Amino acid sequence: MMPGGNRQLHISLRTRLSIFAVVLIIATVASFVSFQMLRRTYDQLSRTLGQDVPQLIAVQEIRWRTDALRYAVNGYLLMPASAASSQQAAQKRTIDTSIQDLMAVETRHPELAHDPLWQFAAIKERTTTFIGKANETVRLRSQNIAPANFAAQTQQFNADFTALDGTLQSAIDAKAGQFNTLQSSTREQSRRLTFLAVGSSIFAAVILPVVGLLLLLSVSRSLRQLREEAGRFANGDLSRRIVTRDNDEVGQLATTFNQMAERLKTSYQRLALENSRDEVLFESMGEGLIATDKAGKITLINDNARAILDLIGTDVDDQPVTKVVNLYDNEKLVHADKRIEHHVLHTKKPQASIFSFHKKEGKPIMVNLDVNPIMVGGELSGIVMVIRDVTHEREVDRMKTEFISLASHQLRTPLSAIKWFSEMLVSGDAGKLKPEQLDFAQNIYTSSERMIELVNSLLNISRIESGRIIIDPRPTDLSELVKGIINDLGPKIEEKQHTLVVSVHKNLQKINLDPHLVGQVYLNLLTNAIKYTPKGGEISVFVSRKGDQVVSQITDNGYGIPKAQQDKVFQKFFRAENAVKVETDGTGLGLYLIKAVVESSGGKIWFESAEGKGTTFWFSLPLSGMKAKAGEVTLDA
Amino acid sequence: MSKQTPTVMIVEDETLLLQAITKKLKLSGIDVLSCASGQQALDYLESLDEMPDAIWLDYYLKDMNGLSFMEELKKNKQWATIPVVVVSNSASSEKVHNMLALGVKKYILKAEYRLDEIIAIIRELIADKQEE
Repeated sequence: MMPGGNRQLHISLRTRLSIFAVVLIIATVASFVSFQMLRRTYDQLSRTLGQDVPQLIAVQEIRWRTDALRYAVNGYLLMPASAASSQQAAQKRTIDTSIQDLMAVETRHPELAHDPLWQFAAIKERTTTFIGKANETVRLRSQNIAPANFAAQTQQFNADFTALDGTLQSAIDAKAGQFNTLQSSTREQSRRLTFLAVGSSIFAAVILPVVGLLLLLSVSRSLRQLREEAGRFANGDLSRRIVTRDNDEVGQLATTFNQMAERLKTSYQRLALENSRDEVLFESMGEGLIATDKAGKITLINDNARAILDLIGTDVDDQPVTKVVNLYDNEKLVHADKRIEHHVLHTKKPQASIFSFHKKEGKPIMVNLDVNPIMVGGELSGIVMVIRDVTHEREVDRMKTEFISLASHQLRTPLSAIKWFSEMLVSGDAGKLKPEQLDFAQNIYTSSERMIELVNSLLNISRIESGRIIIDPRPTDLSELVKGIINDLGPKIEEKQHTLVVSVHKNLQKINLDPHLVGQVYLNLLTNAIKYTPKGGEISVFVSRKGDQVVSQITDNGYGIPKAQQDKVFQKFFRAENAVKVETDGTGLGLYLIKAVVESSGGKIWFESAEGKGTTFWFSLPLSGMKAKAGEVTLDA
Repeated sequence: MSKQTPTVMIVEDETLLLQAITKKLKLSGIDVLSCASGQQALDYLESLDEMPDAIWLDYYLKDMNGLSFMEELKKNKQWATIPVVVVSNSASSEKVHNMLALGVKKYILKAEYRLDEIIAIIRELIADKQEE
């Protein structure tokens, strides 16, 4: 913000340029108009002079002709009577000529009558009177009356002349006065106009260009300054702000630049924060991490990756990752073209796999590679590899498998002994038992069976959880599969006198599924339906197609699952309260197991249930089938 | 070749189990050759004039496993024809596959079956053998 004292008029550059242009136009017009007016003034002056000067000459002519007439008349009067008559006649002719000449002047200058200044009516009247007096005087003289007798007329005639001359003089004086006025006013006006014309010309031709140039220079200077400051931004110096006193467009531009710089600075700060956070994250993560560009050349590697891949102290920047790190699959070196990094760079899809890596010292280690593409605006810009040394994990896994296998073997041996001996007791192989003894032996047998089932479930869960389960898909007819399972369950269904309805979509093609795994799902859901539905219940199985999924539905009208416990149904070892009361036998592992099976096959499992009304379970499997997985174990082994 | 009483050789290192099996087979009217180790079974076979009608074999034995026992059995032409049922606590698909490939007739998960069920299976095998 501007300090208060520096507040300027907010005049935009556009307004300034507009004002400049208007002033320029006004100055040009003013200079043009003043020159025009100046010319007109002189025109008027010369026109006035052209009219008035001949008039003045005419009036002067009247003056000297009247003077000439007076002389001629006086000369005639003063002529002695003795003078020859020819001489007198000549003098009379002179007088007549003078009169005619005087009259002619008036005739020649009729325009004199239009200018009141000339008082021409008075002049004319006085001239006429004067001529009359002259004629009267001449007539009296010619009658030979003694001069003494018409001395009064002579005197009157001369007085009339003096009056006429005075009138003419005053007319001339009046005109001269008018001339003087005109001259002085013209001089004044022309001086003013000249000043205006010259001033506006100078203004338009000199001052305005200078002002324009200054204006341009100031804008140019502001812009140059702006460019310099913006250049600093461009070079990354975002600490400064453009200080401008301009309040115009350049000032606004500067403000915009400042806002931009502020936002850039904020962005940079955030980026810097993210960067340093990433860096810490990068170095503190337990896994090895390598990032490459889109050509697969290493751009980033953390210490863990160096430690795992024997790269401590090796310069690997900008080198192809497939060249720097050699990986083996089953003791065979994986060629660069076959590496998953190469695949991810080409398919832009994440991939993960386990390889062995030969360290300089010691045994080869197993590394898990998780390769993800870095996509920026839909374009691949590189990959990020997360490297994990899974040697120990695999070893632990192997040990766990071994332990479970051993434990199962060890548990199953005494369980088999209990089962078989109690079987023999019940069968009477050791002699007929008393009813109570038989009952006890039967209990031992049933318990051993439950224990065996529990061991089996535990084994399966450990297999599923370890992810080592084999998925072996083959084209499977679901209709056949369901039929087979129902067949196996026949005795149990009969025992409880359930009605069973089975409907499988007629034109369902064979689906690539692991029949053993999917069979487990049907078996489990149907076993539950049979177990948790009172005698004479109804159980139905529907298998239908829904888009790209095949959905199986198993419905019973049994005990149902209490609402409050429904969210725990798929939990390990969970058994609903009402189920435990009705059926003591059960591990609470079945649904947990089949959920894992369905989900590992790309499907979903869900249910709806109402206590006392029954339960419906659904599970979906993709029509495209399961993906084969080379695991280590199958269920129920 | 027909006999009144079939003879079954049991190879099982668990004494209690061996006892139970032997007892049950005898009660079912089957003669039993009880062996507590693989080597004992092989020695037995060596000494016998008449081969047993079937062998009940536990996979994990203290001195050898089912695979090596079957390999030994294969070496003798006469022994190789005896139907073998493996009754084991471990039935990984790999083991089952390998054993069936070596001529084992049936691979049974021990705890899953009742004794009388297993005996029924063995009787069936013997009947099949006699039909050949």
